[in-house]
Amino acid sequence: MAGSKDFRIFEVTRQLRHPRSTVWDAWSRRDQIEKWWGPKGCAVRALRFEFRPGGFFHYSMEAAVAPTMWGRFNFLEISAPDRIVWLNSFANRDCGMARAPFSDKCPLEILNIVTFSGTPEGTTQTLRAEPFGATEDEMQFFEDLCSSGSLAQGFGGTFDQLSEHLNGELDAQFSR
Amino acid sequence: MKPNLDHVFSALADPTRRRIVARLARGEATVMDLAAPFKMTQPSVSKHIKVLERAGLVSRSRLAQTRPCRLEPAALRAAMEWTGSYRMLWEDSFDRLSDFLDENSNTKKKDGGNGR
Repeated sequence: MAGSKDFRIFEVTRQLRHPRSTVWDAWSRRDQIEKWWGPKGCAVRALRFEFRPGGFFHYSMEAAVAPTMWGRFNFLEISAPDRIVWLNSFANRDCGMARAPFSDKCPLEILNIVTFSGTPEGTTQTLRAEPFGATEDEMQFFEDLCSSGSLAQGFGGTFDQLSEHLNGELDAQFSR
Repeated sequence: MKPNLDHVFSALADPTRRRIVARLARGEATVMDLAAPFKMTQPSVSKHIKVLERAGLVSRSRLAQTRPCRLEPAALRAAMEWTGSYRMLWEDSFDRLSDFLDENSNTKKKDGGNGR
């Protein structure tokens, strides 16, 4: 498995004004994680929550006008209070793995690492993710594609349209 | 052809095909154009092009006899699309986490607090 520093495709960092133990509780307790995790506009309910390596967080995502979807975290590593590693995927109602209901373009499983580090102001939380099972070469290639200015020029503005298109499409997907 | 992420990844698993894609990102090229810098025969370039075509990454013009190859951004877009949606999902969730922690700590203060 790739170490955290090998992740290049995706990273989100957030400064939180709370101590690390409080942030850890928000991730590790069933009644807390279901209050903040999930797609915008969806009510998330934990159906199964086993916060241990090998355990599952299986949840339903209910939106007003869309059929219920399910997802799951399969926890791989839990090192309190600074690191959680898990595989995230869509699921069926019985916690079996499933393809994204709206698209076959999503990776089946996404490997995630979240780290928490204490700061004088609170906690720095960093999430890194990449498709599970992709090789180092493939990751390098995607990084080059995503960051290459010459590629963007070669596509003649396709990427600008792309990001506009994606924003619209994603709003539609997740606000349904 | 509808791009499929698994086909895209497996087509790009080969270094020669990645170089061909990188070359086509700069503009159309014929099989002959592609064969020269890679020191490959045209039939072996054609084989790689077929794999890239099956993945939806490359298309070939039927207008000219040389049938120049061009990159199809849709398949690459599909391969990168998940990062945008996944990022948005997490940024939204982190916003709610931040609000949740603020509310939770206020509640605890009012209750006299039993949090660690």
